[in-house]
Amino acid sequence: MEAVADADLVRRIASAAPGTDGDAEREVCRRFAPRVRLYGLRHLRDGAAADDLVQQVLVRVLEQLRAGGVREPERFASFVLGTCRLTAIEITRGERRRARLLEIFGADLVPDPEAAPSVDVDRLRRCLEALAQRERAVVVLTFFADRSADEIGAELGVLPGNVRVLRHRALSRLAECIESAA
Amino acid sequence: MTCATPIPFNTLVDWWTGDLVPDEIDRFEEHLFGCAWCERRLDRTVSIVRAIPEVVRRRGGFRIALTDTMSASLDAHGVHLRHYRASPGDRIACTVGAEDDLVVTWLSADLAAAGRADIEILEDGAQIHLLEDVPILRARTAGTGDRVSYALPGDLVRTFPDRSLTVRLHAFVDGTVRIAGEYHFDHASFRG
Repeated sequence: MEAVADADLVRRIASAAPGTDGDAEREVCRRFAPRVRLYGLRHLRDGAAADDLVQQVLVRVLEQLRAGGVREPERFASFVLGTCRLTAIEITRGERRRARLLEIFGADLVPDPEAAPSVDVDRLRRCLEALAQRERAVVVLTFFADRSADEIGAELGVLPGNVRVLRHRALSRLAECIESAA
Repeated sequence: MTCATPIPFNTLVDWWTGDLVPDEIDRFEEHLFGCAWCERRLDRTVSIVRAIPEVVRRRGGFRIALTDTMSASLDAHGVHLRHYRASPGDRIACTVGAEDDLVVTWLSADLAAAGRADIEILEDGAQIHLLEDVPILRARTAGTGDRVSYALPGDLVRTFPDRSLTVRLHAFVDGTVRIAGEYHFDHASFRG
């Protein structure tokens, strides 16, 4: 099923009786749940809200697929992204919808927690300590203290553009350091 | 599986930190939703950045040069900090407690013209640690002095015996190095 193109999945689900092509529907969920979750983490800044987003987006997408509502199968990824954007806006506004449909589609829509790569925090600590002091400070100010490049630049006396350069370099080194141990 | 037009790593980072303009965000997200390979690269990066708070908050701490913002954030997250503040020439009696996650030393000095500062820690005249290019916290008001800091993990400091340490602050100005301050610390070992 992994080799099947998105557009072919769309056509399969649309041409089957609603809810009968479970394999194709599961593949859509498997393929897009991680992307929707990353989008949710970025825009909603909360793991639980990102999980809610995954469920709501996939419910809507499956509903449209079953109803034959995806008109351009070749642009299915854009369709999912559009659904994701609209749903994230609704979540941000605090709307609670689709509870009934969640009950229908149930556990198939919950992302598999094992699918997310985990980071060895002891290894990450050693990798952080291997960074230059200034890079370490930028990383901690960004991802722990949640400060912008402008705010960090003001505190460290460097230009915001330089903060971004330090951040890129530091994260690239962290990624290399983590992966070298994997 | 690979990608013919992979998203540059820096763009992955800028998307996450909110440093892309709207057109770049649209392009990035369109690509992300259609590309499993870039999704996995982003996922690995996000896993790292989301684990950073866990490392920073962890009991026992880790080595870092702090800023005021970091210190306040750590405090707000329940990380126990023990602070020492020293001016050039000071001799400070110091120790560590059972609950301390980080022992933070703030050194003040005139670093107005310095583009870089290094902190050298010596025992009996021999260097035991060198922190290069630490962030310089510039004085915001006249007379308050510039500062640098270093923090050591409580777990590490609790292993220290009684010892006397000298800390030298080196300032780099226009290609030359001068000692901006020398500070002395008499450490009393952890008594449990």
